[in-house]
Amino acid sequence: MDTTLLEALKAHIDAAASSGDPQYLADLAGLLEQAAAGIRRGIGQDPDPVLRAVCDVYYMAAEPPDPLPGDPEDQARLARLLADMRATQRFALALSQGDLSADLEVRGYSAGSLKSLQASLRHLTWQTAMIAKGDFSQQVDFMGDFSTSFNAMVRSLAEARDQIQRQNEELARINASLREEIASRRQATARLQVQRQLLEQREQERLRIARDLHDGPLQEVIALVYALEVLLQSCNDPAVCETLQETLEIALQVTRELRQFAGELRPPALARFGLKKAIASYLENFQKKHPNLRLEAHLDSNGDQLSETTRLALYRIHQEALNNIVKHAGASRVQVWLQADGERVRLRIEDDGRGFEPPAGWLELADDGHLGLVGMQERAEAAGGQLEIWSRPQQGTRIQVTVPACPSRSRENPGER
Amino acid sequence: MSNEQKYRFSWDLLGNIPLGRPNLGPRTRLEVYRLMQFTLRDVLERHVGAGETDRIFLEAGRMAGVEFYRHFLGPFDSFSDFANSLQAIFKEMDIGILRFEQSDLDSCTFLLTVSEDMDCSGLPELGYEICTYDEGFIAGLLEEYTGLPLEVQEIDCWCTGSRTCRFRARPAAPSA
Ligand SMILES: [Zn+2]
Repeated sequence: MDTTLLEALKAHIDAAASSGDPQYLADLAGLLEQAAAGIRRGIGQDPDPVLRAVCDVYYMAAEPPDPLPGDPEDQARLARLLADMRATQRFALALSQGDLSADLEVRGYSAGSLKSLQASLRHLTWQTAMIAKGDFSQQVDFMGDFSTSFNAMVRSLAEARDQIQRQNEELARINASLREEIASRRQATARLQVQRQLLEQREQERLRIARDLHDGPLQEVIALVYALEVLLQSCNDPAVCETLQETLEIALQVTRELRQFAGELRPPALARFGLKKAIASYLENFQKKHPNLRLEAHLDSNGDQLSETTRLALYRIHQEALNNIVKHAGASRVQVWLQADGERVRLRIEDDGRGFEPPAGWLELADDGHLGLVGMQERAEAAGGQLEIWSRPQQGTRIQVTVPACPSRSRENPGER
Repeated sequence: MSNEQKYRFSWDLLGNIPLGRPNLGPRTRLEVYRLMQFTLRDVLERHVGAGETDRIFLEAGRMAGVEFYRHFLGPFDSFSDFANSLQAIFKEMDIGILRFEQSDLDSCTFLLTVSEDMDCSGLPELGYEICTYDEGFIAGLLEEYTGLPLEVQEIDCWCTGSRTCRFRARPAAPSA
């Protein structure tokens, strides 16, 4: 508490005195005078008398003498002034307690500034509600430092909203592409299923033909051989004998070829002997049939980590590749690799023949009549693997099929469960 | 003398201001506006009484609000856009500092304040609200936006000691 404050109070009351009831206001001024004197004396001493004196002034103003001093006109003016003051006090109290009701009844200039403050707070409340509804355009351009903080908060909220929006869009995009991928995988799975069924049917068809060959034409040619041998034993004419002997040779050759053909059609006993042995044995026969070809085999894996179906696929691919080389490549050297690491089994067949320009896709490959290659591709795909072809005119051909090791049995062959 | 209407309002009546006032432009002193309004009010009150004068000011204000909205504002995609634009144009054209305190589009009730307004800011304390023309003006603006007839009442005014005028808008009671 210092004297200048009290002096200011005195000045205030003096100013009021010039317009109010002289007697009543002179009383107030006198009290203030006492308070000012009290504070002058009281500096550094007991402050209580000073505070009491100041309180008296306010108490006097709040509880005026009854009746009010002055003539009826003064009394009416004072009564209005006092009513305004009381309303202002109530308004200020309500405001301090957080009551922002627009219906608080108060009039007069002394309350006007408080009402302005209340209006600002009410507008801020509205702005906050608008922001809560997502209107981040709200900016506060009054209330000093508070405006800066408030506006910064709204900007952060808007940025956060934008970021969430961007993330949502990104999520939606990822969702869409996942859905697309799931759909395309479903299609691929369905296609694989169909391919597997077709290949299965093809194997069974080959087996049936092999049996038919064995039980039909082969048995008949064997009967022919027996008949020729009987005829030969009773033949006396050397010229006829010679012809019979030649015919017998041809018949024997036909039986060998029919047997070999039936053998190729029949699936090899992979389960019993393993892939490596099956391929080695096939290569041995192949070398015998084509002694001019330099055939090199690098068979390092037995494909034990593969399912029966996959091993059969590799076997058939190697078989088809070798037949293609004989039919089209005009090669002098052929190399076959069968290798495995922990995750994959790789079969590679390479020749130094005349090669070709590989078409862009499998459809073109089929259009160009490379049905053998298309079949290989189908088998590789059905086994969950990949077939790659490198070839250039006059630069040979390399065919490589890679299949995953240990594919789940359910994917590989749903029927086996 | 004929009593037929001579000046049915149209925006054209306001004239081509850039052409007409190449040097002075569109602005004038507020005293001039108030001088016109209060002399007009004085004459009207003497001729038709205070109550009728209030009704005339209210009706004129409403017409002004509607024309103002059609000429300078709307249409809007959202209430936020409307509120922001209204606030901005009030400031830009020195009409006053407008702030919403409440807006409920479901019940069509609004509470807003206009500080430093053209009609009453700085007037002596009278003990009653005087911004009748503004009540009409705000009603016209909000009616154009909401499409509903509204009743606007000034509940705080400079003339009742407030430092800002506060207006409450709500759907008009159906006329009997
Ligand atoms: Zn007002």
